[in-house]
Amino acid sequence: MSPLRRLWNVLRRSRMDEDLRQELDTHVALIEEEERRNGLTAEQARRYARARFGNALMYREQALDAVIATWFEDAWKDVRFAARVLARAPGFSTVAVLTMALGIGANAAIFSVVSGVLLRPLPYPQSERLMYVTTQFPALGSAATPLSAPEYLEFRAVNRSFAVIGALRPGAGEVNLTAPDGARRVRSVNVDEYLLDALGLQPAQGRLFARGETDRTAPDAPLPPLAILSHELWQSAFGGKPIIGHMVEVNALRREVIGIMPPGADVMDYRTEIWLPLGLNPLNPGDRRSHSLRLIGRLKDQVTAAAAQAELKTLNEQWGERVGVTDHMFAPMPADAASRASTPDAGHVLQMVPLHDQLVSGASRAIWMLQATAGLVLLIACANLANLLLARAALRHREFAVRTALGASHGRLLRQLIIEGLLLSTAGSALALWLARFGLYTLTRAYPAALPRSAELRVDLPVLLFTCGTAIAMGIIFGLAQLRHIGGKGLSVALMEAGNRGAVGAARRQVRRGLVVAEVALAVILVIGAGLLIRTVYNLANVEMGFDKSRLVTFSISLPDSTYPGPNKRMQAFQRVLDVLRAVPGVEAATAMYELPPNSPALKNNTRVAGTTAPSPERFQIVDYYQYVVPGYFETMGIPIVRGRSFQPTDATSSGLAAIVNETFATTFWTGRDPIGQHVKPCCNDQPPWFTVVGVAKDVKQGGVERETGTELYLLVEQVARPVPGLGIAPLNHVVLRTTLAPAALAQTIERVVREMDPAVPVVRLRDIEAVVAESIQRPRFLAQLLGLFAGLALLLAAVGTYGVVSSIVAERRTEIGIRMALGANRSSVLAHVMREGLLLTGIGVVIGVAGAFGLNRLIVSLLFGVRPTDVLTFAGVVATMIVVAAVASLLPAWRASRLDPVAALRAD
Amino acid sequence: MPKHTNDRLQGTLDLLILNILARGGAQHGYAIAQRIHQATDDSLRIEEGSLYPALQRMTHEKWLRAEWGLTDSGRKARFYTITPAGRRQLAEEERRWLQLTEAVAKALRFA
Repeated sequence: MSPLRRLWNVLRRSRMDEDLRQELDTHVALIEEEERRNGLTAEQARRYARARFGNALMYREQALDAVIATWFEDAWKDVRFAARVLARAPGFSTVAVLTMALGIGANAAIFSVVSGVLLRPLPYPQSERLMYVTTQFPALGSAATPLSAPEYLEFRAVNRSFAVIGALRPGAGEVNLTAPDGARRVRSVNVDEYLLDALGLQPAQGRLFARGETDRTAPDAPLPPLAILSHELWQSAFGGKPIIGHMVEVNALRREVIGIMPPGADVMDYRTEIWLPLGLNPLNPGDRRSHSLRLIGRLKDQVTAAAAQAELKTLNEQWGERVGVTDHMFAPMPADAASRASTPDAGHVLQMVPLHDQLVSGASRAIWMLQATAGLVLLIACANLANLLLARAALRHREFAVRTALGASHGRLLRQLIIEGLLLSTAGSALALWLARFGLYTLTRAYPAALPRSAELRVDLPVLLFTCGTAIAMGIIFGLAQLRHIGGKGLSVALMEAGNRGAVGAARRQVRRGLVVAEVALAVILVIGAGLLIRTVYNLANVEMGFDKSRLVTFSISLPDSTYPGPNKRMQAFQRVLDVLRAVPGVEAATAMYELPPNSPALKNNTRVAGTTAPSPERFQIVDYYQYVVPGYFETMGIPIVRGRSFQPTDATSSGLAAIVNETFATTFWTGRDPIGQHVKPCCNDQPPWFTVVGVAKDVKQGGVERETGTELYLLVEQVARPVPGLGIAPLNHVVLRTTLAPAALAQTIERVVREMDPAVPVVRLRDIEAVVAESIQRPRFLAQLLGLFAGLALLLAAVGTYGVVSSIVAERRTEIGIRMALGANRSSVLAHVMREGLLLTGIGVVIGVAGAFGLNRLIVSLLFGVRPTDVLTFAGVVATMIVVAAVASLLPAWRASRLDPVAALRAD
Repeated sequence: MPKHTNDRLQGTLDLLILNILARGGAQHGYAIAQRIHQATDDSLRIEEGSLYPALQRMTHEKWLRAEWGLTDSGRKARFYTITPAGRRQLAEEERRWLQLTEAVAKALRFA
């Protein structure tokens, strides 16, 4: 019968019930009539008829059951019954729901990440057609570098595979924006109109850049005075008031707001707040060697990625002839080493990856690892629940035997168990979804930059389906599992067993022990993984930075070219700020610099190094980091000078150009020679005279605590700002104070000082250096914290499981223990006996878990730092922890066993 | 709902009911029970507990049609008549019954 039909019948039930009652009444009446004809009295006839007919009601019920699907009614009854049953065991229900909520919740949260970061397409139309194009310089060890402007313009002209290809620069930039509520620093990106076109972005209001609008008219002309705001910036800085066509002040220049992006519109996951013109000059695109453009292209509809890849390959081969350049052109990597050495640009080729891969591939291993660990937590939770349900099944043995004896069918019992399971899992998953939402919110707030696309993360439909699927599967499986244990044997056996505690199925006991072993093994794997990541974070946080991290407070200000034309103005502004801050009580020293370690980008600048011992001394050498500083930098930062001297205030005015290099620089370029007195000529001008090395500084982790130390070159801002070296720059961005005060205590002073200097310049990223270092290792910290949480959960669940099983072993063996004690076993031997049971199970689990961890940890090598995946200390620590936890979990039931009164125990049956 | 092709006992009751209705026109439940008693010389007593469910089910299968009417003694009762589908079912049930009894008889002879 179809479900619809059944429903119809249920609705008609009252009517049919009435029909049937009437029919049965007639039947009884007819029997009566017949018997009276046979000579019985009316009273006798009625009694006979009733007796013969039995309970009219019962027949009616049966007749109805045969036709009318009481299925829905029964199901509802079962739900209510199940709710009553569960309410009668509040301890069990609470533990079961919580276990399920934690297990499913962890998975729902992590699956939200998997779904939102890895699975969901990027939020652009037909985003799978978007490709990220870069070039590479294998000789420099660089696998993905931006393109130069001439290369980009040539490529855009000749390419056939892409419908549109656009460029952006430089990465996540920042500009000062004067908003109604004051100056603020906002994340900016410079793009051309082609890029917005390629992404398929449409403005929510106004318009985007038109053709030619993002170009400069001359190489040194200012950027076109236009800007597009993100929806979020428009809301937060301008209160969502009409703004199209209005002027805003960006880096002290007035720009017209021509459009507002729709909410969430972004590129490259920069969380862009303001979109500015790229400012290429197509007629005079500039230096081929200056690589700063990132390219995103949209493939034509009929072009496959493979075809585009093939086109890039052919383009690389004949680039020089086609565009008529001989220097620094695209050149495939020659096969033989000789021609590789003679072609300086060997392997400088165009390459592409899907944009989605470019954004998420770096995080995908970490995310899948998290999903795997969440899966393990769920498995442990399942094992625990199975354990709990089996223990409960044992208790309900009698109930089910009696119900079977009273006529409940197997199907009916099964349905009831499944409904109980579903009720638990529904409650559990509702709680789980709440946990997942809360967890996701907390995580993305605490670690906004630990994962790509984190702004897009939410508990969405796939997550909901995933959660419901898991919950339903769990509910049904647990219902079935219980029935297998209850209904597996004949009724009589069940009834007999129900009366005899000692004979309860040995199979069930084995299953429960197996489950505890599995739980312990999985927990060990998880805790070892968490241990390794925690040690990774510890190692990262304790890397020798090369400077003294204590009591350093930093902030950043950015002086726009328009208000501070020329290096001297900038330098003077910084000098003024430093002078005022040095006079603040509690500030011991203050300095300014170009990049703040450990966040310096690797510049890899071409540098002339005189007298170098490097393999090809006549060519440029690649120097990883340039750091421009003011006198007092090394003293304020606490960077030891290991040879020679540091920059002196007299260097600022002295005509002798001084440079300081780090130890790695000295040993790389002047192996075995004295670096003091050697000469270097910094990038990117052949004119400047040589700088003389006056000192060697200790290595500093410029580009990240987990990175190898690079070659570092320190130059004095006062000297590079001068006209004589011809560099003409004063790139200062960060101020660092050595102070006993906290950042919060300094905030007001610093903001006042900067405001007095220039109210359009905001103070940003005011914090201590410890926070900067902590932020730079955000992802490992995020992983360690999350995995630590999961491991803690696993440990707790395993402890609960062990406790439960040991308790039930004690309960089942009451008689045996009673006899032992009656025969003279003392309490401590009973205690030891029970403890041994618990520890044996744990021991087996630990051995399996350690073996599993040995096998699996290979997969997380790339996430570790300074610790091997088979680290003995971690393994030993985890094994010890697990055994202590198991011992504690077994102790309580063991102690209870040892307190048993043997007389009471023996009398119980 | 699946047809009870392999449930012999139920099939037998169905066969008897259909047979009676095919021969005797519209009849109510009591009369059907009485007819089965008489026809089998009281050797088969139909439980009312099985009769009415069977009638309900067969009506539902559209083998029977049920209508309210009055008995000889003026009581309101539901009268059942066989439908064309019921007749086809009857033929089918008869065929199966013969097959079964034949098979059983053979088995008994050779056993």
